[in-house]
Amino acid sequence: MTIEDRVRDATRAEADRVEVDPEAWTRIQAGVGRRRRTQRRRTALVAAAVALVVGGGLAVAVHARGDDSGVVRAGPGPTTDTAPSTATTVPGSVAEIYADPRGTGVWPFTDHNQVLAYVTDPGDRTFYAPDKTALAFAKQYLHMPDPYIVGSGVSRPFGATGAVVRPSHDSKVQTRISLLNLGADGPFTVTGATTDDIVIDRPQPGALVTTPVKVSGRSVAFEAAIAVEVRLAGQLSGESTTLLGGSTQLGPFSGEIPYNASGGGPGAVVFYVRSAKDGSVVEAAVVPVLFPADTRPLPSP
Amino acid sequence: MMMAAVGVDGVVVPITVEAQVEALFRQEYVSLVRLASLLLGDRAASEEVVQDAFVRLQTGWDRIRDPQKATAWLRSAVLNGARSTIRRRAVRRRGLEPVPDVAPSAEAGALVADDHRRMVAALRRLPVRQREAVTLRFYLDLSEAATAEAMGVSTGSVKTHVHRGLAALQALLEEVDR
Repeated sequence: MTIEDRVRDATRAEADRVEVDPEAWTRIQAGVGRRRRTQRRRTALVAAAVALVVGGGLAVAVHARGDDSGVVRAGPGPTTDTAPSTATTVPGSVAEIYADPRGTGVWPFTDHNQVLAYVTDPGDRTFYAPDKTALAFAKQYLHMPDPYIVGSGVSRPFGATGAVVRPSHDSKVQTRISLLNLGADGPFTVTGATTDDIVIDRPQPGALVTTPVKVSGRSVAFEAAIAVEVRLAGQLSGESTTLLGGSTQLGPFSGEIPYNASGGGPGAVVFYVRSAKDGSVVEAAVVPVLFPADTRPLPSP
Repeated sequence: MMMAAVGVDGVVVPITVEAQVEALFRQEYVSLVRLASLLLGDRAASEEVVQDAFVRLQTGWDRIRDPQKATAWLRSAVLNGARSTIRRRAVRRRGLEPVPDVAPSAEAGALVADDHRRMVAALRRLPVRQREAVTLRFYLDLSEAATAEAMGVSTGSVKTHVHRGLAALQALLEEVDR
């Protein structure tokens, strides 16, 4: 048998062993949706940036014209001790885009004021690094006991990137954390998280939800139990609810999660799998959602 | 770009981009995951690479000049994605993540003939370009021209990579036999 034939036989035998994900098409379509949303957001951000540059140029020109010395000077720089002046959201502005949960993400920034305050603070630089942002998210938001990063920097277009965390060094379970770079030199924000053991059908990322939040999907976990929480602006709202999916393979779950209505804004629905050993969080899926200020149920279409 | 087909009742029905990509998915997905798996030795990473290629195909369909060549485009995208994954692993190898074993597990070893196992392990030790050329030529049975198109190189380069790859495989297998 020639070496060519041996390669042929061996590669085919090896390839035949590979089973593919039965949900692949669904995942691809979810990826298409995410990519299209990112493309639209990118276009809007570029348009807003152009508007800001043009507006800034006009402001400098006006400032210079009002100066009797005739010397062109820039206006005062940003400060950290005062809130940004964009208290109201102008349609189509950067402020409006940052107010979108898919624009600011779910953590550590939940609105444009937080982003602006952070970038004008010369102190903490944690969130300028995607790895550090993901690690801080795993510790502080997901409450993993001793998380560590096993891979990161999977660059995707338009400032999106990702990091993979494990809850501790003796665990093989992984949570993929999605991050978005808020501007080429800006900080990173977490836009969601996924794991192989929790596949979420509802809510969809960026959905407008009211109490009780309807959730469904498939999961596999110790004793089939997954915990679900609603977080409003990063804070737990209501109580953690336990739902049952599969215990040995992915099984369907569904339920309604009430939350305390305390104003609208960006937030997330968080799904956890806990350790059979000590109950600590081992993996999680995080879906960014938007809560309306008026929390009465939405009318039927 | 939207194509059209004539339905059973003679009505011209537009074929959406999603439908065209889904048809390609049904036809090519398994084969592409297996190709990526041979290059990467990691099913999850292979699926991610292939799914990413399909996402980019669907969202960039308008930019594909010849939809008839979508399969070739996907193959190139998978090779590029696999190369990127291999590069990232090389970086991680210096720090964070252990490289997946090139040798299959004991369980897998029991299922696959020893000669196949050694051959695949040797294949994964080849330089990336040689690994790609050998896999495309002998796993997918692509012609030299199709292999060159997928790899984005000349047919002369393909011949060189295949020749060197096979020689290296032979040497690696003999080394193991000794």
